[in-house]
Amino acid sequence: MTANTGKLKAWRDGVSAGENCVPLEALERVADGFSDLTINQHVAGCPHCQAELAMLRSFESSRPLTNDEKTVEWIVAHLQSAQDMRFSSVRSPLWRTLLTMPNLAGAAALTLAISLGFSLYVSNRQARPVLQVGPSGIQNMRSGDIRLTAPSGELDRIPEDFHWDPLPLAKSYSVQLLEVDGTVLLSGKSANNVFRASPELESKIQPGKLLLWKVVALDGSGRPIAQSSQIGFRINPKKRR
Amino acid sequence: MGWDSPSDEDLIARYRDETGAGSEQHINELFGRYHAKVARWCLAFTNDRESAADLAQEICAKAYRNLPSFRAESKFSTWLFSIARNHCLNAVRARSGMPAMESAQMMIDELPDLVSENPDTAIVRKEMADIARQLVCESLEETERVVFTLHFAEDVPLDVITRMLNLTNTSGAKAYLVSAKRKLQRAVRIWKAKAQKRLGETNDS
Ligand SMILES: [Zn+2]
Repeated sequence: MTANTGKLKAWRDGVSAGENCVPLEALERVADGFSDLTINQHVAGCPHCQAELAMLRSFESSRPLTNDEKTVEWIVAHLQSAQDMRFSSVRSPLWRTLLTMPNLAGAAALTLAISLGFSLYVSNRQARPVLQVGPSGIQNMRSGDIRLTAPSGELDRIPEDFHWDPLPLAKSYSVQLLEVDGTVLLSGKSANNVFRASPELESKIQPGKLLLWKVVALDGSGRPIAQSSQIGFRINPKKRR
Repeated sequence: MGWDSPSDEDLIARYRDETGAGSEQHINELFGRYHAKVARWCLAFTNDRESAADLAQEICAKAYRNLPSFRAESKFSTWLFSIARNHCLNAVRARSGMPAMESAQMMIDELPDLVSENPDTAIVRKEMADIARQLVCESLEETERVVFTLHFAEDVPLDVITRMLNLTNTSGAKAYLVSAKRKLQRAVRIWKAKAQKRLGETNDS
């Protein structure tokens, strides 16, 4: 052992997890401001638990990294599209083959890897029937099966209704309004192809900010049978009602 | 008909109660709520969008696979954090042989010596660790302590710490580490002098 390794070891041992260190559930309570004397006393004298708490707070905090929000949005869009692709019936060998192909470099390979990767990871769940249409068997639900008509694009005022093309087999629809990072702002249900927004919507919409919405068609037992792609709209901050 | 926003726990309960594709919708909503947090976390570790997207994708997939083991002993977000934390720390450690870690070696060279020889028994090692912990807690400010711990105990590179803790000063985490070492050098000097004095008193009596 070199002198430096010995020197580092003493300091490393001093700030590493000890037998009295508190689990994350307890640190979560500290982060949430709950007071527990025993835990607080331990944390005050433990650099390891303080570092864990700092990491937990960093993860929980939504503060943007300087100049990085665009990059975060890019990653979120990829995670979202990977998730939206989960119903696709891609088989793992193809996914693996694509990933190992040297000529599929850069962004294209990444997009494929992310999109197809999630499908692979959720393959256990996918193995269950996704959509049963009549007696003929199982059919996959694809994003884009429902066409959204309005609202979309730049708007002068907050929309009162959301419209889409009706789907013959649908008994009801689930509607979601999302931020670009996938955070659900509002969600609701409608028996037909129009969703009337509640007055609450106005308080949730920030003029100038891009919002997305999507619709999932449900059968008589509330199971999804088709879904739309997400489309976006933005309220022009100068013309808001 | 109306708007509603179920809690994370509600979504997980619905996911577990229901079968078929309907249950997927709840889990998609749940994960969608955390995509931005996971993306920011991974970006702090990689500072490169492609590898951050890879890490984020792996974390979401791991969380999805392990969801049956989620027992609600903590919030879902804390549980997801533990997966993200371990995954990214392991990824960083896997790269520890890379040039970025040379600066870490320099930092170790400048660390104050607590003992002149390597502690070779478990008791001495434990004592040294206790003293180190005490000196770190007594002499350092909170951010210095956190930076010092993340760097030396968790092997987190300084640029990652800078981004993770959103340190906006010019040289980021490095500045905190430099000042931590200066303070610890002083604290070690004082501690050694006191130890010498105590030893002298014991010998005299
Ligand atoms: Zn502790």
